[in-house]
Amino acid sequence: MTLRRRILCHYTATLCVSLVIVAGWCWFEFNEQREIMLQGGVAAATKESPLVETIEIILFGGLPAILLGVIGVRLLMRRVLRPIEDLTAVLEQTDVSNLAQPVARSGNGDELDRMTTVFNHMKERLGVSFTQTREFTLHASHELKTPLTIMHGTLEQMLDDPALAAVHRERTSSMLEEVQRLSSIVGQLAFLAKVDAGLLAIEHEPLALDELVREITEDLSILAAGAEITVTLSDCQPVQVRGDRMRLRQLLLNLADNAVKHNQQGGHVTLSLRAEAQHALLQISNTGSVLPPELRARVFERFFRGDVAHSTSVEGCGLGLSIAESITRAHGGSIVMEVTPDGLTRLTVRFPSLS
Amino acid sequence: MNLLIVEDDKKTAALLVSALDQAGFSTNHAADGESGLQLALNEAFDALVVDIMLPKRDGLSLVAALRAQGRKTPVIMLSARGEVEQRIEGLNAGADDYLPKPYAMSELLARLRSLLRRNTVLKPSLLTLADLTLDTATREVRRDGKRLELSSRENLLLECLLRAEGRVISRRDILATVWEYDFDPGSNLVDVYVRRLRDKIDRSHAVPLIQTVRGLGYAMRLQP
Repeated sequence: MTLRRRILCHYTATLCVSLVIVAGWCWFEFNEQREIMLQGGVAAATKESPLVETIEIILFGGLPAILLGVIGVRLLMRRVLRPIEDLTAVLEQTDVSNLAQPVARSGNGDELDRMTTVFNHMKERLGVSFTQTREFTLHASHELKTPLTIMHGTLEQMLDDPALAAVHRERTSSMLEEVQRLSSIVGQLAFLAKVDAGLLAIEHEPLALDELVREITEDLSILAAGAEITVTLSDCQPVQVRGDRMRLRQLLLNLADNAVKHNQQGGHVTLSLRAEAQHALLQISNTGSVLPPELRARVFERFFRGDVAHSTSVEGCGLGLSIAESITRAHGGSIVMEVTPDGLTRLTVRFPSLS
Repeated sequence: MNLLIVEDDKKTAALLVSALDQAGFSTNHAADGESGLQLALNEAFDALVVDIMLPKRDGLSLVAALRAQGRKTPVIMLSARGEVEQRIEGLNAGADDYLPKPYAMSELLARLRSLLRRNTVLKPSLLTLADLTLDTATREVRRDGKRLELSSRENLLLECLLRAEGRVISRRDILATVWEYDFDPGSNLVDVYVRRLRDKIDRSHAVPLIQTVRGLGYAMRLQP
């Protein structure tokens, strides 16, 4: 039965019951009048006030009918709205991870059941489209590797030729550098595609995050020295996390590199690692120019390069922070970019720690 | 040195053959896994260069079959697929080294040479180039008799460059050897360290030893 018909039936039934109650009371009143007339004649009947009688009918017939009507409509509403609420709850929890699971259908063929079916179809199509994008990136990055290898090798052979004229040597070297840059982008894309497809093998061994942070700080100081940027490790509390050593190093180095690249000559980078209840809190702040608030959440998007002024002066292809975010998520952590009250750009990474 | 290349992509195979011939190896080529395995079993090769994705029999199964027959010929695997997982898979199947695509030919040559040398010569503990010496046992570095102070990373970097014996070594190989990183850090970490090492070793000396080879990496040798 359709929902429309169900509501109509329910409503009609409620009205009928109310009518029966009103009719029942009227019948009782008329009967009473008849008794009075039969026993006391017309004189007795005139003693009864029409106002009182009407009030009585409203009180004992109308009010219960209204009450019943309200209760009936309430029940009706609840029955109609419950499936909508259930569906809304499911909709709220829908994200990329559960597109493959269809919403349970009532199967009674009403409008809501049809809506659930339509929604399931939509989820399915969305899922297919997500998978296609993922697989496209995975396959594209995979397929690009062979031609890149051939180009690289051919250029190397050309450079090995001692007869190569100086001007061609210069051009070939420059081409080789670009091929390498392309290889590096393809490699990073392949990494991200693998994370998306859930193909990245992550180890979950207990390790001391503070040791990794100290190790990266050393590399960071050397990376930063060229731009006269000073690096400070303000706090490094011992904290154990469960994770993959290589991927965490990659994450830390990406964050460190980001803090140096988006900084100014003579600037500062400050790192801190603190052990909170059940969490390891890593913060890296830098004195680079601050991104407007609407762009801050977008820094983790692929190929995001900030404003145009940024992108011309900073090398890199804008995948570093996406990779950092993927690694953080794969470890059950979270990462955010904020601006501190004193105008520093700060990246905060939070990992579940081993207590 | 006699090599067998098992690779189905014609252009890649042609490039490998010509690059390895040019480097002084004599090469044979098989275009699928089955014929590659037959060749490897019937003839004596010094090393095998095997692609993982091959028709008829994939590279992993080729190596496994070769090892099952008791052959210890060194094998380098090439693959475009997932790096870390494939590396483990390849090494488990019995390969000696693994090179992810895209790789530089110089990288492949360096690995082939180190593989061919691995079993024959013990690593010397005193590395020398012109008037520079590195004692890998005591980590002592001297140039022109004067002792140089290097950080431990710089010391490892110097060892890595010296062990290449004048050949070009790629940034990826340096990262893998000195830092043990299997990823592209997206930064110029290697260049910054080489610059520091160069400051300590080559500055105030007439003959520079560390050379930048554009597009390829670094080499330590006397200027030709």
